[in-house]
Amino acid sequence: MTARSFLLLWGNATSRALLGRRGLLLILLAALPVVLAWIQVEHDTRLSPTKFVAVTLMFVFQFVVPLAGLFLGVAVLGDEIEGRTLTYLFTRPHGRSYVFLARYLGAVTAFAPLLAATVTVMAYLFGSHVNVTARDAVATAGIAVAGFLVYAAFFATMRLFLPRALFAGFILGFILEGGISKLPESGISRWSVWHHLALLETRLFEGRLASTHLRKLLQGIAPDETVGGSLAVLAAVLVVSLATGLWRVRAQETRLANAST
Amino acid sequence: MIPGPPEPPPIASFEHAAKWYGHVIGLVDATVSIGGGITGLLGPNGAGKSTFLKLLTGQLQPSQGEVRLLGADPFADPSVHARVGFLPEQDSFYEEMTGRAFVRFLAGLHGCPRARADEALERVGLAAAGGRKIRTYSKGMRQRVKLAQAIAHDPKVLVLDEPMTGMDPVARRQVIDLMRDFERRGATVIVSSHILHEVEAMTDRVILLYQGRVRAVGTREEIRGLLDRHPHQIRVRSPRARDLARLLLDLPGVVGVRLDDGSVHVDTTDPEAVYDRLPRCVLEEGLPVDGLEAEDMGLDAIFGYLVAR
Repeated sequence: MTARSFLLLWGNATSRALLGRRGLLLILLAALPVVLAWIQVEHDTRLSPTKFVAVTLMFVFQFVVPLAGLFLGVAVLGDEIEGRTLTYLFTRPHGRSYVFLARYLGAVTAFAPLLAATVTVMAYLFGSHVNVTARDAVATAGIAVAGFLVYAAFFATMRLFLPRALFAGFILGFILEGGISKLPESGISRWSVWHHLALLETRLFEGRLASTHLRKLLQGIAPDETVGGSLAVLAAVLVVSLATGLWRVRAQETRLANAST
Repeated sequence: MIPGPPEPPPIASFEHAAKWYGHVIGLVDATVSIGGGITGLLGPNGAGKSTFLKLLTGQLQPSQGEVRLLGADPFADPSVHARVGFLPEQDSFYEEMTGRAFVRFLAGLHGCPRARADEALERVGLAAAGGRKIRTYSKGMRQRVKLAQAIAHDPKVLVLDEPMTGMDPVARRQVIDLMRDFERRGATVIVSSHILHEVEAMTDRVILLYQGRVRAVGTREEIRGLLDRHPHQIRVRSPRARDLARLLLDLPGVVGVRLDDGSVHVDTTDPEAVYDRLPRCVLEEGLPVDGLEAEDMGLDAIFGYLVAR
């Protein structure tokens, strides 16, 4: 596998990630928090500015990030499998695992800057009303991108095991994760990615304006939970997901081919 | 006695290779070696041709047995693909790409410069339409794009799964010429088809597949020779067909003759005896012979026998 081949695969994945209806949906999804922030800033709403910041951030972390991760994650090899174009990529002189890795990196490269830009613009719009600094904006963008990388890796690997990963992902990413995060007392909420993203964000605003509202929304974050612990969990999910995907694609036949014999 | 040079290793080989998908059998206990030149893989739809080629190109792993391509396991060793070009059966593309971008992208994965991809498009007659999006291509043009991506890196082994589908006669001729060109340059071409006359036009070396099993391997003549249960049919045209029939009936191996519109149709288990005797009929008996042809050497006849076995 040469660097040139890797770059070609990566470039192909990047350009294809935001094409078509899915691309349009993702761009709209990324733009939505900015639009909401703009509405709040330009027009009075019933919510206080600080609460609105909290609500908008939760919308980003609990909806935009997992949904983008799901859509782009399942498409990493899913598009190729369904379009039956994986045959072309798997009959070239590079390992199958490189195809998976290059396409994953291509997909996340396409959307991560968009997500980071969304969060930054959102923070800029809020900046004049609430105490959001440039550092807060960068850190929040970083947390959103980290969450997106984790979700995308998880769902990309899930697609290698499940043909209907999009459907299963909706259930897992929204119904199960949402349900788990509503069970703070049991500690089970710690099993959700969302919980750790929320913890990072809460810790970022600790003792400041938005924190009170964030805390209300983020029930279940225990005092003993640390930023380092959550970063470690997110990193572990990312690494294990990618490693499982690489193993799967290298050692197992993906149902890349049509059923005809 | 001085031993001759060692036999060159086969380009591809299957050793008791089998593939099944759950309860569905794709290929059963296939043992076959493929050398240089053009080899046709023939069988009806569902015979196991695509499974055979997917195993050969490392897209599938055999459930049992071993598959080797250029001395390597094509599933485990992707480097072997540097010397292999593959045209898949399915009509799948990055539809939003132009034909040129598609071939350049896939050739680039072999480390080929863009000029090589453009040359390949030229060879398949698609240079002028290379700038159009693939979704606007006709079926024949789509086949040509697939062919271009398979040949762009000048492979040593060219594996073509139903390459003629959707092509007009001129394009079919061009594909056959291209395959012959590869053969002349020392490459191996393995081509599948379910259309008998198509394979006959490409090569006389065939692997016959039916219901997931390799039924026969060899030249058409060799395969026909294996089928000695079935008499060979020879048609001899003569204005004195009745007299000729009487003489041929006495030959060893002849099990029947039939007269039909100035021709004798001979059923024989020993065709060589008929071919030996005919010149003598002309010279010694004065019986004119206007034409001679083996009636059942076509692949369709052979295939019909094999399936019936």
